[in-house]
Amino acid sequence: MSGNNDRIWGVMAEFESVDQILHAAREVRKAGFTKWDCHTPFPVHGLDDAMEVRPTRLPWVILLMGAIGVGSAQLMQHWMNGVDYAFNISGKPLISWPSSIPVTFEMMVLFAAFTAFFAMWIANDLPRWFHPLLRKPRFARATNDRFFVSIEARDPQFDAQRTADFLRGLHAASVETVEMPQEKAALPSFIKRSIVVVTCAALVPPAMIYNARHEPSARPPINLVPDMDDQAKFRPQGETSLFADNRMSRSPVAGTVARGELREDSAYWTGMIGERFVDKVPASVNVTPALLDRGQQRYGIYCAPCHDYSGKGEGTVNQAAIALAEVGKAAWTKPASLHDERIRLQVTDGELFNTITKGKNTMPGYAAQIGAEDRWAIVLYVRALQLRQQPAGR
Amino acid sequence: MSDNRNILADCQAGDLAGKTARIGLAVGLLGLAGGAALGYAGNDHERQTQFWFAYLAAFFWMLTIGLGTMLFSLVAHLVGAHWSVTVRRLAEITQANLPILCLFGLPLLYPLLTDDVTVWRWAHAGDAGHAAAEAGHAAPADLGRQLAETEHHRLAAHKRPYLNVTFLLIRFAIYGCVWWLLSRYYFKGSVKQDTAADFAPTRRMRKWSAPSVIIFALTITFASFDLLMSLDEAWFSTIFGVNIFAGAFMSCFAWLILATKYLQSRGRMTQVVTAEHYHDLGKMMFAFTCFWGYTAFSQFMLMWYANMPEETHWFKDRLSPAWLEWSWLLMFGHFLVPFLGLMSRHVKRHKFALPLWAGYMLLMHWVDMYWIVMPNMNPSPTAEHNPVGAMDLLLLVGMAGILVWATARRAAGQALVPVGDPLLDKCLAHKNV
Repeated sequence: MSGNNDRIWGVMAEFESVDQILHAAREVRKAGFTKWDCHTPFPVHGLDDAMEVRPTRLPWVILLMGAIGVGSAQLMQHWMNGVDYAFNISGKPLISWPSSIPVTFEMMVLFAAFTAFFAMWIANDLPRWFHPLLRKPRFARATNDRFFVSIEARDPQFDAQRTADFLRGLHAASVETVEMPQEKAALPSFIKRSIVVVTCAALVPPAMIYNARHEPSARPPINLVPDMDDQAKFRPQGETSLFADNRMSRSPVAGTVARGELREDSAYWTGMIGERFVDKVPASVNVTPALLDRGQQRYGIYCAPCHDYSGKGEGTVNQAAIALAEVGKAAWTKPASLHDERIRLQVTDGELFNTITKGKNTMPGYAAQIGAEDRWAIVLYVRALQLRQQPAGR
Repeated sequence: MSDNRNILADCQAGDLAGKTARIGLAVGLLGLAGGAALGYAGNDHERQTQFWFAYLAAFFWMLTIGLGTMLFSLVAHLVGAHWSVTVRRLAEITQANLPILCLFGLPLLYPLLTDDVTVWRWAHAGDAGHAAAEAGHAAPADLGRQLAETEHHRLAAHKRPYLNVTFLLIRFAIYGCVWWLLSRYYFKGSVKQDTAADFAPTRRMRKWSAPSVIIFALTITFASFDLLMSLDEAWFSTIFGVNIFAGAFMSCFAWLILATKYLQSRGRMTQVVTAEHYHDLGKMMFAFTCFWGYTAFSQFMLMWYANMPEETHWFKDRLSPAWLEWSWLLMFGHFLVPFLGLMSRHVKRHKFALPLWAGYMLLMHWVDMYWIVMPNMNPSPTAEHNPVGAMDLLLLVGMAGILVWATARRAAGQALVPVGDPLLDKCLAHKNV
């Protein structure tokens, strides 16, 4: 096994029990060796104390990196949400700490966990491809039922003969000299070839992406799952050869109405009769205190964020948008005050309804979110709001 | 087992139990009487109301420590833990007193059942609720606030079938019975094991531990809903019970650390609880400090984000000028500072540092209870007056005394360590890697 040119790496002593290895560790330590180690099949309680291993500094490194994770998460979110892509989310401040906590927590854990994992590898000189002890057949039992002490030749106190005798004196079952082979084995060629192949293969996708980004192509895109990308179904505005007019969208058959879609009462459904807005809430709306309450509640949900609870148009969205507009991050038209002379006196109930349905200026239409009955309820509540803001007697 | 006889020789309370119980009782009665005297001295109705709120906070502080020790006893059997065997008896002794601790909740029936002072507004809702509703309509308050108030009364009315005095008393009786049965079963069973010939008592306790934990979880959750969350009858938080449980379990470990330290300083249990066991108790205290922070923040953030008036008002009241500092104190004092302070292995194994932190965490648990209870006295987002004073602290000291008295009283009868436990040898040899 050992060639003539091998130099001595150290000695290795084998022990049969936990008590023996603990005793041996204490004695080796007492003798003043510094470059030595114990190898056991399982964690032996008290071995660290016997060896006087100084406590690891790893926790401090992990703590530091955890703190860096916290700091970078905070900076990242504040920069993204507050500076780079300021986006108003339900009137919340752009930089607010509560919403940043979950990401901060995750980043802290991520940084700390990766640091713990990789710093442990570095601290233990891993990955290690070769160790001279592994050349000793006896040492295989270090993972099974034997305990080993190894003392390295680079220890200042080391002397091959005397150190071996010293270990024998500690009741070692066997003591062997461990050699370090002088010539280094070449990396097996199949590993070399694999590295080249894997590296080249790994470069293919980035090269393809690079190519795709710089070379426009007339060919259709690659579909990995074709029947999901291209489904046999009708889409709005689509074209088909199935019908004479080539359209996928079909009109209802002449003279029919879908269930629940009969909207004959145009005043109720559109707020208009012919081309004119109706003046008052149509008679088909049953005006009750309950409906007014419903209007108040819907108003609180859909209208108050912009128009605010009092209807002055100073809701939280408006406040935040003005703050954004001031720094040039948004274009904003202030919501109308519902107590405006025009809206109060000139805008009819029908036009109010129409505005809620279809929107106006920056206000979107709410027909998709609020049913017709609820839209009339809001109209009623807006009228009540307006009355309330007027001095008595008007 | 015969090897352990020397080690276990000092695991009897002996005359120390009587002495400690007397001191605890004296401190407890003086504290409670002093608090009552301060509360009722000036015939000031506001002050009397505050007394009952503070009493509730202090009582729940004591009760949760008791409940935490009960859960600890159950969980130790559930998971077959060996590290905790030598400190488990202290938890069993503490939780055996839950029925006695509950008796100190009986005075709270006075504000619940009479109209002299109002702690739970819904209990007097017949007239007071309507008066508040009418006051809301009369005052030209801003419409957002008024909407919230309308919603408040709608919710309160919606909860009436659950939140009424009769059903509440029935639930109290159920909690009391469940706790009485569980505490008795796990205390008696453990004591029986001390002298039993085989391990049948332990096997029985293990078998029942899983259903017991489920029942326990339901009772502590609903007890905290009924006593604390219902102080604001419109507010609801589904994580509230979990948050209370986290605080209770954390306090249990703080309590066990202090109790063990006290016994060791008086020459008891000197060899059965080592740095290894303290290390583990400290780890659990640390873990549940973090878990408390996690649940407390979850509760806050979801409500802050959804921003619905019927939920946020609870936090808005606690961010008023009067309570803002308490909220900060809770965030830093109950979570961030102990999170960093208890993180180190060396702190958890240190003779003085760990009990110091344990005492601090018990105090913080009271701060938590006080923060939950007290702002309900005059709930307002603009409140400026923070009522904390000598009375509130006296009541806390009084309840602590009662807890010490009840525990020490019970400690006299049997060993301080479950000497017959099948896992005792493993526990004595326990080492953290």
